[in-house]
Amino acid sequence: MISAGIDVGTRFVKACIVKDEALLGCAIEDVSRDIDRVIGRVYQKALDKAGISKRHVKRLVSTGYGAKLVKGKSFSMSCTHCVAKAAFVLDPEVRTVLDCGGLFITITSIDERGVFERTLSNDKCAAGSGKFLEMSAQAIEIPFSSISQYAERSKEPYLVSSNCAVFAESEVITQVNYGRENTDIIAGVLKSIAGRAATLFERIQAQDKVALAGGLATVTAFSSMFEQMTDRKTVSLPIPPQNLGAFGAGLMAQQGKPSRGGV
Amino acid sequence: MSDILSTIQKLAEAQKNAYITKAADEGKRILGYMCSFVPEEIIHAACMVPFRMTAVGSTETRLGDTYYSAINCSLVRHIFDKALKNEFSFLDGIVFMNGCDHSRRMYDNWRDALKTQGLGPEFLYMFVAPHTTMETSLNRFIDELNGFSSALEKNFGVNITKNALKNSISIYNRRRKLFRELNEMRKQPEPPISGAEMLAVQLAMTSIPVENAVDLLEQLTEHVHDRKMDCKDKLRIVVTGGAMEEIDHVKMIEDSGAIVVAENLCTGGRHSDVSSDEDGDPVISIAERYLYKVSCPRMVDEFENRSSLLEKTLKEYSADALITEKLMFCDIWGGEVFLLKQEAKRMGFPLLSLEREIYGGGAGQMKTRVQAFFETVRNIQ
Repeated sequence: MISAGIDVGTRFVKACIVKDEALLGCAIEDVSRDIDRVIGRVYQKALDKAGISKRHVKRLVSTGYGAKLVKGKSFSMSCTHCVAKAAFVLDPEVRTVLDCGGLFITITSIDERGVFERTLSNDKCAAGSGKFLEMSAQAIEIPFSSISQYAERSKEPYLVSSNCAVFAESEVITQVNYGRENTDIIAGVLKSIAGRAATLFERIQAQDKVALAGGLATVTAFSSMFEQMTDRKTVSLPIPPQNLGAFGAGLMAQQGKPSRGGV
Repeated sequence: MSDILSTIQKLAEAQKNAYITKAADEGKRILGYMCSFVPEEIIHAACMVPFRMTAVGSTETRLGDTYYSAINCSLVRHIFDKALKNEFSFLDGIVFMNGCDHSRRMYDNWRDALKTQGLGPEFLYMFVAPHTTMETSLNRFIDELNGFSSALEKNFGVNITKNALKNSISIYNRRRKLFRELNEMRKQPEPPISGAEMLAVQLAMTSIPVENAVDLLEQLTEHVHDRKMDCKDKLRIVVTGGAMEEIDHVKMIEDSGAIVVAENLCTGGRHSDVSSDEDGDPVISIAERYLYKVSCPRMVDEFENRSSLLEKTLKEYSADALITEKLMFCDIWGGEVFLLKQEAKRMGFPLLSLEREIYGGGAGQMKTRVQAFFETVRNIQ
């Protein structure tokens, strides 16, 4: 059966087309005001990449912060379940998945059968999130794709200690005015986010193997800081970490009864 | 900076110091505490050294947050983070207190960490001080002091005699008198010591044995006797609030065109200048001193006393304005600041209410607020 998963996150919309346990195609686009069109476009792009027409997709599961925004014959599932499912299918030895997205950091533990055990999320604040990193990078004029290169050059990371993203952003601006190196500022922001992820990691008493998901996982400096703080190695999965939610949603869709027409 | 002030500054900024190491090497036990209501005299009379636990040197709350949430007091989270990193491993025991809910819960968290992670020390004592100043509260407090003494005697095999208690009261009163003398000098038009320096003095003196504190304070008093700070065009400020360790924060206030002439802080003046009665039963003297003479917002129905004391301080120190310092998520000081704002209107003194996280950065924002406030105060004048 061919199924689809759409993950409407806080920063990006992702779509994956799945057949059994294989990923046929995926697409990603920024969240913007006209969300219906974005969802439609991303879904179509994923279908095009997979070379599949819409009518062949027999089930669709939506997930993420805006899961309910996906219209049509779909049903929604929690992102933690989807991400955990995807990570387990890609590597059956994974027991912990850390999903670091636009506004949330979520950590999920799964058992040896891939059954969801427990999940923890960050507090109601964006200070430990991808959006915060993005805002800080913008404030010091560093392209998002170069964050790791800048952070790795830092000799003395600045300690961003505020708990609030709004205050923390002002703190970053203050440091810019004090003439602090942008390498030190961005390394400090990364360290603060990695620290929050590590707190959740300690709190859930995470077991090996550990997989990283979400946009922050694409920032190598973040992964290495997190590994250093927790003294663990994370596994790399064969699909881009940002797409794990949508892929997991597609896998979840495989478990239901196929719809007669397309979705 | 003079040698003595620089020594004190280093002590205030160090997590552990040579005095504590020396005392431990001499066989003295070190007991950690966090609140001005914990009776240092009893610990001292048990031949132990009371050590005020601070967040000094802490740069993150990563491990502390595994027990606390981000909406808990940042001071408590920093201190517990340090504890989980074994930075308080030199302590032989900890005395917790029901000062506020955030700090009292550290007792539970520490016990859990002791059980699950073997986090020492093993002697963890919950000291419960009443919240009211009625006669029944005094009796309750005396019972608590006796219970605390018995726990120390039983656990560490020591004997706390009345004479030892009297000696301890006497030496702590000596320290308090020296603080009073320093504060008295700050009433002068040109105080001999800045607020930032004074905060360092107060922080340092609670992190070393009292005998060394008396010695250093005597040297300091002599040193600053003829010293005069440059106060030209500077506002005279009183700072009141909960725990404060950030010397740089006070320095920022002073660098914005002011001198801090007095403070009423958990880590500062609140408990440093009120003595215990040296005559009569020592336990009753200690109980009366802590319950009746040291008032902080944790005490209910005491606001009028605190307010009149503050009014007196503002007058005696010729203060131009008051700055309240509250840590984020501190309910106790949240209520107090609300009441103080009303008092400020009634009495007609300018008040700036600052809220921060301990070592939480945001210096730029704070400075802007302080500068704007000082400009307003000058315009009123």
